Amino acid sequence: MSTTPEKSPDTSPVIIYDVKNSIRLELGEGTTLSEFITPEKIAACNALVEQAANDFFTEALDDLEKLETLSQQKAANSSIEQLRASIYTIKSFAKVLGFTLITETCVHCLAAIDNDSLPEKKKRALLGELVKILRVAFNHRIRDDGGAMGNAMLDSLRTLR
Amino acid sequence: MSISPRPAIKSSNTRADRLAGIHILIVISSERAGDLVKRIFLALGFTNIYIAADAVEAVQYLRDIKLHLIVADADIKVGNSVNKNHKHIAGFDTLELSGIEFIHRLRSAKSSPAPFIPVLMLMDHARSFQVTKARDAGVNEIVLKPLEAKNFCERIIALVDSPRPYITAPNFHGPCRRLKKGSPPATGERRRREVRLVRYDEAKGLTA
Repeated sequence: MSTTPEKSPDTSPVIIYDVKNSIRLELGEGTTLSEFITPEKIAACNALVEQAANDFFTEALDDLEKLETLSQQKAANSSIEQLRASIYTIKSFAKVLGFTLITETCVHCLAAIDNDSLPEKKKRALLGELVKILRVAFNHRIRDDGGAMGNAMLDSLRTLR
Repeated sequence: MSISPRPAIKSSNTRADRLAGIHILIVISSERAGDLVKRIFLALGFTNIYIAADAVEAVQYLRDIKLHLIVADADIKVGNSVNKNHKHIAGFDTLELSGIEFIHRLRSAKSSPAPFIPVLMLMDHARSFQVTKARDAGVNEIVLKPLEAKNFCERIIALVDSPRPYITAPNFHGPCRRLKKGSPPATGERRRREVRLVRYDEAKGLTA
């Protein structure tokens, strides 16, 4: 297609590019991606997500155990970084799967670690309690926000903050 | 006279072949989440899928492979990559970037390896200011967490089957942000339209 600038009263250097989608070029002229992604394939993808959600509590158990060990250790820069890494690992996948209580608890853990105004003793106590909540969520395979119990557990930590 | 059946001609351009020509990069810090997204693409029939843990690795892939699509997590862990022995690309010299900042650089940096590549972003929140931030960075489509396969597939299809034109303006480069059809707002300047048809891989140097 040739370049055909339209006359316009303003001189704004805004340009519109009608970019050829390179995926469409690979698929072939006149072919859409929706022809390739069938309802059967979408159902298979759904099953994969469901499987990942079911496997989460066993696969992330190692990270939780590591977290439990680290949260009981005396504060050191290396252990804090390891702690942060373990929490991040659990949090990021829990968030993708929509496990609200686990995600929220991890967010509180990270906030506690980064809270410099919190005395070290209090920080340790708070982290310890948060890790306990994670353990409960894992043991009961809580996939949502934990309902009233989840709220009560997180609310009970207010005194420690 | 008997005629022996002609051997079936093996099509060199089957559906699977066509999907095999598409290269997809997933930029996500969580190994498990990356693996899940990769398995979804595999289930859809795509075969060339790469995972980058952060912007550092993503730039490496962008430089080495002709990619067709990026799926980026907004919440990538900055500076996650172990191997820092990479060559710098101007505009990407600060490689400890969040997902949104990475896409912004990808769209706007003069030396960007792929300024027109379609980008789908995984985001945590549906808060309007965050969606606006992603849109202004040049993201084509957004999928909110938790990941739902149906929604994810629909966004991928929309991205490919209903592409929007790309806009280059003084403060923006990316897919057109006007989703509603119709005339532009009554107030404000109208765009000067200069329509150019380009393939994104041929369009290097055209960015603002």
